[in-house]
Amino acid sequence: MSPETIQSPLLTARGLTVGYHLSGGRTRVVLSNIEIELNRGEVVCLVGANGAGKSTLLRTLAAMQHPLSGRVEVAGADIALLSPKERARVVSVVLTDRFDPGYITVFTLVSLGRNPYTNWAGSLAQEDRLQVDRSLAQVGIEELASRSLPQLSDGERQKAMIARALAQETPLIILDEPTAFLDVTARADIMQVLLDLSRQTGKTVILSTHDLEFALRSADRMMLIMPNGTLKTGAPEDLVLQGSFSEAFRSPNVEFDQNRAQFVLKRGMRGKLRVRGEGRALTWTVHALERIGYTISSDDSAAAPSDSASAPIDSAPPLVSVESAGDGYRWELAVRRSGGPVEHSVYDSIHALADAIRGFG
Amino acid sequence: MSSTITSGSSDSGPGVRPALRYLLLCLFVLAAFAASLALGSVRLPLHDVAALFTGGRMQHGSSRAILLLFRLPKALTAMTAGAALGLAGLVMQTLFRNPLAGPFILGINSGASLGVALVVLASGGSAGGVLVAGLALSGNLGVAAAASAGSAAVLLLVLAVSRRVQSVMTLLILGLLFSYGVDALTTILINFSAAERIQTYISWTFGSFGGVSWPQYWVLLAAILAGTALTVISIKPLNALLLGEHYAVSMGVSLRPARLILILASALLAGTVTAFCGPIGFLGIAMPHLARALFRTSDHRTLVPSTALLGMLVALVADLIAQVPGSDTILPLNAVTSLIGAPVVGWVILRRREFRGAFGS
Repeated sequence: MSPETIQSPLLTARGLTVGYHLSGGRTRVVLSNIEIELNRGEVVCLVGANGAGKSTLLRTLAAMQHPLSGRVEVAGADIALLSPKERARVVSVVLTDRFDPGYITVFTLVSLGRNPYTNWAGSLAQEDRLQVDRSLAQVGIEELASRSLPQLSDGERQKAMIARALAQETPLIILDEPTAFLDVTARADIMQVLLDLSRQTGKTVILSTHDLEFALRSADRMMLIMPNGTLKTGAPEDLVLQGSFSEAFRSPNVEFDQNRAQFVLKRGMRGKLRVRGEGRALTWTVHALERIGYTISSDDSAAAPSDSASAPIDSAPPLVSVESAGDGYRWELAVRRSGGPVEHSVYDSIHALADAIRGFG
Repeated sequence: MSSTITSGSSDSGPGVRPALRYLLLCLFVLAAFAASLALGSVRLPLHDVAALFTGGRMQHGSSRAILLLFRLPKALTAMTAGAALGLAGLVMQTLFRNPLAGPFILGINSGASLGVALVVLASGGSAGGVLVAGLALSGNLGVAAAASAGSAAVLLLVLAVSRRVQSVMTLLILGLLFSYGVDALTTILINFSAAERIQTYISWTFGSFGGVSWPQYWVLLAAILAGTALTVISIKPLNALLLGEHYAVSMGVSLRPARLILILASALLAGTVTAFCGPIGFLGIAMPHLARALFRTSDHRTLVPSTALLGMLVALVADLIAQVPGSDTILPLNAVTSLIGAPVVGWVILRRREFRGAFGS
């Protein structure tokens, strides 16, 4: 690879409008005015609400669907002008299509990825076999090579599909929700595989996902589909700081917590509480109180003087303090009922504490 | 290529190695071929059957005539038709990703039936030449031409539609609708026909390998070889289609040409057989399943030869049974293929525990 090819972007989309042709010459625009420039070796996460057009955009980038206008270039070539065989050497895909090929071994499945390189009968030359073996090794499923597909778990099957895409030896791999339907460990596993192979092989990986946490932690670049049908691209952190996430996932029930980079349910707030404590106990106590619908007033929870804590003034919210006791923890709740004295009560679990707090809500 | 087959089936577990399975299958076909030459309303010594090929002297004076005029063309027709129907079924099952698809799924036999019905039932004048009683009707050149014309008409309709239709599922449903429509026309024809002509038509629908003369056999063979060639050059796209059309395209398959060739191949195979032997059911749907179960693979590099061989074997055996050796009775071929074949195939398929899900379950 010459220095120029490393620096020049692998994928560019200019003035891209994606959508569908309807009957009568009308069109339905899904996303418009898309400008994308992706470098080699980048892991790019495409994120957007359900039905926002993630799959439509990915299909268009893979030339499985024509854009309404604009063009997509991969490695300097307009992919709309390539023959299917040429295109299959530039971009490979892992789709959400469910299929049942029956009795084929993982090796045979992965070797289908050699299709653009093999002769009319699809017989494998020595080099093809080596590439299949390499692809199996890159996703860590060499030992599954002779298993047949029905014997695989969902995660293994997805890895086999990724190995098949690798066997196509394309500089660009596009994956549509590769971790949907997988359990947590399989999901993390697949994501690790994708990150590793992009780092090791310099391939550009575009994937759509609903797993924001992963995307924020791992993606070099995020593409965020906005409600108005445009695309925001940038480093994940840039998008957080610009407030793009809150905008993209605006909903009456959920809001994006910009500090913790996660979505939280907007519950009807039941009131305010102050919390005192430290370490993990504090974290999970706050977690529990927020879960049952309280806002934690952070201003005085950490720095409250001890006397005001033990005798809260009327206007101050009730105080929860947590401290270790023996081999567990102990929670103390200090409440002042209107005008009365401060009532102290002690609990030995968050469950009991939460019950008590719900009681006076 | 042989090495790829080995690796593709390396998970086939205990049991007979693929190469050995092919050998056994070929031996069975050979044995059935010999038996179908020797057995019939008159039993010929195997010595005479061998002499036909070695050029030795025959024990019976009439042996040579019986073999050359009747049994050899019939046995060859059975083998050719069996292989053709199996391949046509395989192609349709993969193209439509539907285990219930068969050679006639697009209405090709309905077209042939209507053609024959028109000749036999409707045309008063020419029917005189056609009204040869019983099974001798199949193979009659007028009938063959009518059946060819009928299936070709349906084929052209299907091809015209398939150029405009995006989804193969739509095509499948349209094919079914064609069948129903065309069958309805045939039913109306039958409704207005004289009883003895209906009898003639019905006996054509029983199917028979017996009515093909040498000149006709060469026509049949040429068409089947052409259809087989189209199937063989499609092995690679067929394998890619195991993953569905989207994946096939992403791996470099030019979908429309591939689809056109497959429909053409299956129509040529099934249409020609129907023209010369009548609408023979069951073989086309069952042979691919039998091949998948016996060879435990969906790889078309194995399925194409094995389905063809199994088609030959089962067609020969079914024809033997239909002759009721040693008697003058002849059973309807279609009844024999279904009555004897269905339980056998069902048993083989059920015996393979893992077969569940081996094809788009």
